[in-house]
Amino acid sequence: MIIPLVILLCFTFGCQKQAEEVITEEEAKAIHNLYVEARNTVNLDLLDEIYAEDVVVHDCSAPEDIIGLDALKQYYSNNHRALPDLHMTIDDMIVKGDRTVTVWTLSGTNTGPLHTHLGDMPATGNKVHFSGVAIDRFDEGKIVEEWVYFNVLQLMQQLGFTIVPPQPPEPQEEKK
Amino acid sequence: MKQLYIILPLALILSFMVGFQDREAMTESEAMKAQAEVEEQNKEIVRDFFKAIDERNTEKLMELLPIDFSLTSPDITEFTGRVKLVHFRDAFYESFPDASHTIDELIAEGDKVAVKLHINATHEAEYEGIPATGKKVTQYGMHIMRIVDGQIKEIWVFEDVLGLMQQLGMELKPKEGEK
Repeated sequence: MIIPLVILLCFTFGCQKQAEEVITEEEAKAIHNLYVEARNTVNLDLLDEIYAEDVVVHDCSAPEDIIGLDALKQYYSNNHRALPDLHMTIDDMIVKGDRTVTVWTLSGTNTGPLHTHLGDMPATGNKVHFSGVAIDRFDEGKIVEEWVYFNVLQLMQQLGFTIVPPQPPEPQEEKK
Repeated sequence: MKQLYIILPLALILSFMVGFQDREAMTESEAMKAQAEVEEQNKEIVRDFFKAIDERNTEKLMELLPIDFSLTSPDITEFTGRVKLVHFRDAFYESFPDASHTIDELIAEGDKVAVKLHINATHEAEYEGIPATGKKVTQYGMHIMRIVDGQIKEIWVFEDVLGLMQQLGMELKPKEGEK
């Protein structure tokens, strides 16, 4: 009678503890430092140690969720192609339970083609500098889900875009 | 008899050590409990803040913010003063009178609370030069707040402004002559 109860108690207690602290402050620091190194040295293979293979990233600058580490690397490769001198810093970090919140700043010069929904845009030579925030959810030491927020409009304006009211379709047929 | 002389101090030392460890463990868990309580209180302050914003309860906002409250939206806007936040809120609610904040997640650690949220609103008057469209919009964002003595001392705001603009019918275009 008592033994199963004790086992049950141990089990619930063990579970509770796990839910409270899946990632420690030191582990979080190490992982985010490695992430910054991966980006700043364009060594994207380092990301294998950070993200789970089936990670899902919700990034407000991406039209759809980025599903899987390979897709994430492809997305980053496009960033690095547009901003070959991309430099990133982490400015603040919150670690709680299975989540970390990081505030980051990214800067770079647009000396390569930029991949957008309008197609590839030629390099502008413009400098970009913007900050954002990411929430990461960890499981077994790796990031399994990520949410990224930043002011995409500001970044696009730095890259030479402007925001305009809808344009009437060009009367191409009349020209013929 | 001689054995007792040895065992007694040993037992005394042992019990003392165990007792001491226990006490240390106790204070540690008490500190953790106190910390968890503060973090829960901080979350409640954040919930109250968004409720006060949506209800346009200025009196409650004044309670929740110190005079030298500051807001930073990196590289976009940065200001100090809680009255400015009230002006900012009033201007926003003029364009979006039914705006309401929904908190999707709160992460509290130490004196900080990270807030994942979205705003639902109807565009009923001019906003950033865009005349009323009557459109229903949803804006997603993240705020990080630092709480000092039961008040929100600092807020950092990260929002997808482009997403909002696109919902209002605006389009992103390369600037003329920059090609």
